Amino acid sequence: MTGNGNGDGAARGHTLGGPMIVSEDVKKWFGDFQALKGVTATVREREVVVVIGPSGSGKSTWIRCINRLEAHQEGTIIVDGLELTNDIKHIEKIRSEVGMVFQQFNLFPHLTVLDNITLAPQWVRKLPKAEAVDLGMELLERVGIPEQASKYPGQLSGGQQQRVAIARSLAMKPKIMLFDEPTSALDPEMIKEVLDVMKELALSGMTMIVVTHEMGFAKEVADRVMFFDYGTIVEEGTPEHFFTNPQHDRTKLFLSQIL
Amino acid sequence: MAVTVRESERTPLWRNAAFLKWASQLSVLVVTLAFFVILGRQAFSNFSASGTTFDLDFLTDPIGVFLREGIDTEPDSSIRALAVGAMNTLRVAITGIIAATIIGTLIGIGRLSSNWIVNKVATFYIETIRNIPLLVQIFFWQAMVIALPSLVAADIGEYWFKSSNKGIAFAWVSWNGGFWPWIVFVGAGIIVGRFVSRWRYRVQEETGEASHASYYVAGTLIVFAAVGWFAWPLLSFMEPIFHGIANFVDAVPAILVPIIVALAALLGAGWWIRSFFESRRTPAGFGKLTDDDWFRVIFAGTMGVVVAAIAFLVSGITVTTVAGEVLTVAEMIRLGIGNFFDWLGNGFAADGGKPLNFSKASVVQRGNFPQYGDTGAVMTVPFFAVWFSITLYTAAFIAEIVRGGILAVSKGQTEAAQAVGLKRSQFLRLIILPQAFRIILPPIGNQYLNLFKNTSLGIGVAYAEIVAVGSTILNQTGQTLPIVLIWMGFFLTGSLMISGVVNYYNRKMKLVER
Amino acid sequence: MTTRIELPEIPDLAPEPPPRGPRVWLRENLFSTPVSGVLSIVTIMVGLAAYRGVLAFVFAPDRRWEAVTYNARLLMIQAYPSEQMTRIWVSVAIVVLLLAATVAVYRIGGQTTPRKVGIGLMSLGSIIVVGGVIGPWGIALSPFGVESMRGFLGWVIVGVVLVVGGHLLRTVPGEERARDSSIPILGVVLVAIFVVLSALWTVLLPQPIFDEAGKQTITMEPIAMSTRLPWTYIAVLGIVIYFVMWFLRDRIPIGLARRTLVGLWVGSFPFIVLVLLRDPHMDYGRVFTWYLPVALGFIVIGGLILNFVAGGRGELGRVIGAVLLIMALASFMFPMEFLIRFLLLSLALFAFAAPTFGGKGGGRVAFLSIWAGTAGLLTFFLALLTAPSTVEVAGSSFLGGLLLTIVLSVVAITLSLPIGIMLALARTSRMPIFRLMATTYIEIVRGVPLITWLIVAFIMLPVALPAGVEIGGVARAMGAMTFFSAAYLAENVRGGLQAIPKGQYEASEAMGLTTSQTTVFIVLPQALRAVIPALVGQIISLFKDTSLVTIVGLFDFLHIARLVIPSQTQPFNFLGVLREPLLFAAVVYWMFTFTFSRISQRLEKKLGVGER
Repeated sequence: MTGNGNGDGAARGHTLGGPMIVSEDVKKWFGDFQALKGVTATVREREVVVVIGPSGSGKSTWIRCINRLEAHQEGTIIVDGLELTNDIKHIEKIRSEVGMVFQQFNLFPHLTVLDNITLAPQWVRKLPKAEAVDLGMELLERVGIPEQASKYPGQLSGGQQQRVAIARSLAMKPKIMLFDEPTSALDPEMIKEVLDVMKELALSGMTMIVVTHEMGFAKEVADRVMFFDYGTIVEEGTPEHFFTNPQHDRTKLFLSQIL
Repeated sequence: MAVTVRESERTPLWRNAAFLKWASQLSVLVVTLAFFVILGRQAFSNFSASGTTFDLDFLTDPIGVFLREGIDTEPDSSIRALAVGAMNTLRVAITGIIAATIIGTLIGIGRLSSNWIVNKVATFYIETIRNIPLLVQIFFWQAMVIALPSLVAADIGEYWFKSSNKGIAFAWVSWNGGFWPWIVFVGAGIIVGRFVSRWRYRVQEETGEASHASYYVAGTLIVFAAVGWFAWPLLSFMEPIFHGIANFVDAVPAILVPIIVALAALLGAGWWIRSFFESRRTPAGFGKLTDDDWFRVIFAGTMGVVVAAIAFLVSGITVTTVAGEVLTVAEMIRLGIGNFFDWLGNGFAADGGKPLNFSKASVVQRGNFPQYGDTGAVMTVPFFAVWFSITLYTAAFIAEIVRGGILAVSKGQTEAAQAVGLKRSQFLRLIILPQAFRIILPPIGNQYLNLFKNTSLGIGVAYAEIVAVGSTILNQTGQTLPIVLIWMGFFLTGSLMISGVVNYYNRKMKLVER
Repeated sequence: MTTRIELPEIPDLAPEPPPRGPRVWLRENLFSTPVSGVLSIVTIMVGLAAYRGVLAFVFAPDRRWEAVTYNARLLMIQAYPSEQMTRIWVSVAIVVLLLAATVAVYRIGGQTTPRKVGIGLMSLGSIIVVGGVIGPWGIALSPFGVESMRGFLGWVIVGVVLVVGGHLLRTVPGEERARDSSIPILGVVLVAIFVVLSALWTVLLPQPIFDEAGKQTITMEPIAMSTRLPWTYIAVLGIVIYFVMWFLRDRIPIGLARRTLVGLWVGSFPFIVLVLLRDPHMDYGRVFTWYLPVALGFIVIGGLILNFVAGGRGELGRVIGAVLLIMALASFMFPMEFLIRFLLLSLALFAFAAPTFGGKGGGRVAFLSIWAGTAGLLTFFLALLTAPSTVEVAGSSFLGGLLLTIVLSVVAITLSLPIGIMLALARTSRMPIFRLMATTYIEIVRGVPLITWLIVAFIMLPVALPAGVEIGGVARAMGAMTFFSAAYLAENVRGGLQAIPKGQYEASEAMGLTTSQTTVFIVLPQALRAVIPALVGQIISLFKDTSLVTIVGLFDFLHIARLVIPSQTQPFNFLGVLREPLLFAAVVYWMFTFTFSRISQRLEKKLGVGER
């Protein structure tokens, strides 16, 4: 395996741990369309990986396979030592350890912000309600909007909604956070507030896979950048290496288009 | 790379998502089927305890049912009585659908009219009719007609319109033997008319002049209808052709019937599976099939085999006809097809008489009391009660749909049309109605389905439709299951046909959209 | 058809234009174009003719309305014994009180303006004046008869009073602002209740009586004391409760109050039907030796099992649930008490739910108490149902008339909602066999008319049942209506389910919620909210459909109107009097459905369905 970063998470002063997510030759079809054509990658503990690539390149599908929103059909995915198979016990365990943030926030519109956050701790981690509420308020403080706790998602701005979504995922105390284009649906002035929360999260040592087009975020925070195209990882490397000296023609073309 | 897997033993069955998914589904299916099997066995044992046996022979046994109206008022067998009932149902349904559509559209537009009084009257109509149960309305109109004066000797004579407690009679056109050949001419006129209209529109596009397409089409139709009115006997050469086909069908071995059905089922299933596999084949190789995909393939295959097996099983059942012949179902189907072609052939006979016949209604002395004669058209009391109520009732719903559709379209389109400078009538015809039609078609199709099913309320006023006839036979013979199956078959087929027609137009409309 | 189609006018939402002279109004609204003018005149003529026809029909001297007034009780409650009438009144009172409390606690009721009320009164008054003029007594017909003069004058005076009153209300409060100041609709309702009550005490209705010679005569009498007194008490009580709750609603925890109200609504109906109206004769010996011990046993042992399952791993719950389910299903194969069968079945379902909904600490206690409550209620209702009724009525059921119609609708709609939701979930699930089964069920049930299913329930079902099991006619009708309307409700709910974005499911799954938790906490609350108007529409159509049970011979409202009254010969001869009771039935049905459809329209506006 090449270009596995410099191995010590120098960007954020963290030491990377053992392998957290192992993906080996993962393949996935949608009908007659092959979305993943053998993705092999390893993400280590406390590592921040940024995934970029054109739309339809399979990058979202890959991270959705990691918490089984999509079932991969060939290959192996091992998350925190548990293999993702048909075993529902493993699926439940992995889902409670992997948090996910979506492009469209996907907050539950019929629940208040606080209820959005406390729902899963109460019913999956089986916390008593009072504890769950304490946890929820703590997380809302962390993402900076404790005053919005009793509002409904529809009353918040996009940036605030996405921060609630992040808090909601954190409420499950996940070991890994997946971000599926978290800022793509936001107005430019709101992108920063969400990225700040994500940076704070990265500095706290969370293992993160971030699908994004925010190159600034990638340069600043990522330990490693992966470039997806046509269902495979075309190129990967540290941000400096990746942005200054891309090897592949397709990477060069893609970077020239978005930078 | 060394990866530590915390638990690597084989997944036990009770934790396997795929196993649980299919096991739970199959067990629910089995329990449900078992429930019905138990129910059915109980029913059979209760039936045999009461001496009733299940076979189809009862359908052709002579019965003493007298129907008040229909193509045959004294049917010789249950199956014949049910056929008469089915025809009566269709009579109400088809005429009701046409009338309800016209009335409903007018009222729906009236509901949006800028004319205050028209608007209020339409609103009042909708809010009243919609909120009273249809059955109450049927009973009410029946009571109203029954309360009319009866026919007396002084009434004997001819009328344009006459109402009495025997029903409502009016002048009407009826068709004769020459009608069907004439309709062939009219049909040809419609086809030619389509070409004419296309040609005129092309002329309009090329020259920019008004092309009067509708006048041209109407002219074509009139010419064809007029020629056909006199020329229809020319088509009598079709008669021997159809009789020949009928003879050929009668000569074909009956075993072909199940063979054709089974082949169609198997080939259909095979074709479906093949195209399904094709759809999963990619340039990069064969797509991996999920468990759901495999289920589809297995299900399609099973259905093909089951239908084929049923075709052979059912076609072997023997039935005694009214005449006492013992026929298999396959032979009966063959006989039915043959009779159909014979009937078609007879329709082209040269001695049928004028295509259409106009006659006034008449009151004649028949037996001890004056009654309506055979001329004109007579709506009996049950028919009138069912037809009138069902039409008004459905029209109220159609009116609301039409109103909703027009409102949905006209928002925002009004200014656009005015900006382009269209006249109001043009605006309605060219902009609003085509778009509104697309919105209102699916819900109106639903209303047609409701109307069709609501005809069954005729049983309340003893209108001889299929449910009323069926329950009479059911009371006489005790054959509940076959009758219920016939009802289900009839209504499901009818519903499928209506939704098929609606879906066809819906698709056509959608194509225009693209 | 050569009628010219009028172009639809798009109703604008601009504020009402300032009032103008009647001539301008007429020109703009009735005679804007020549065609419109002709259309107006024709419509007015047809409308007046229809109105006159209705009046002539209703007030014809040979109309026998006493057939309706004399049989009013029969129409409402059929043969419910008159010495037990208190039970009926208490039931009505419970419903009215709950209604009043709900209106207060949920702050139902909007605002209207004196101007609108005034216009409403004026239109009503004008319609009455026109009726007075064109009615069968009207000047056009016989201007000189004393009777017709009285009819004419009575109508015109009432109408003019209403018009003038409405006009005053519309204009007199002087300032423009006062006319548009808002008054609560509930105030108008209060006035309406008062008007109806005073009508109960004063308006005379035709009643047939025997004189000494045994001759029938018709006298005009007010409604009987035994009816108007209870109505008055109930109305006053309802108003009092409304104001009490109105006063209390800001002083008590509102969430608790609302939950209590919902619970009371849910509990009131079975209580009214099974306990109050049915008055079962309970065998207390059997209650203490059988029902109580069995229920307690199930609550305790079942509770222990559930507690164990809820604390353990998910798969253990599945295994135990499966074992219990097999036991429950097997219990239906062997002779056994229905109580045990049903308790086993519900225990199995609870065991399936325990791992996901069992919770911890307080949550566990809540879960176990729900189990205890379910088992207790199940036993309670089974005990009630199996006990014989002490209400002695002629005929098979103590329910009849309008009461039966209402009970049928409520039972069918309540029972069909859960079934419909299950069917909708199955039809949209990822499980192909479930999808197939649900689709087959829904399409077959919807493809065939309701009357067919009623006939099946009345003729085929008894044949298919094992010996010894009998289901009464009312229960059969309830079953048929329930399963029929479940298929339609399923389609409505499916619409709501399909409107939920895929992201909601994904977010929920990504957080580790199980499929059932996602369904209960995320999907259903949103889906049901979206389809409330459609559900109310379904309720209306179900209410209308209950009239079909007359065809299979149940004594519902319509049955009494169309068959029972017209065949009465004793003590009064109403033989063949068919149109009057049918028209009355139509009006009663209309009042119910019209109210519901108005509620539905308001809900639609309030929920903003179709605007999203």
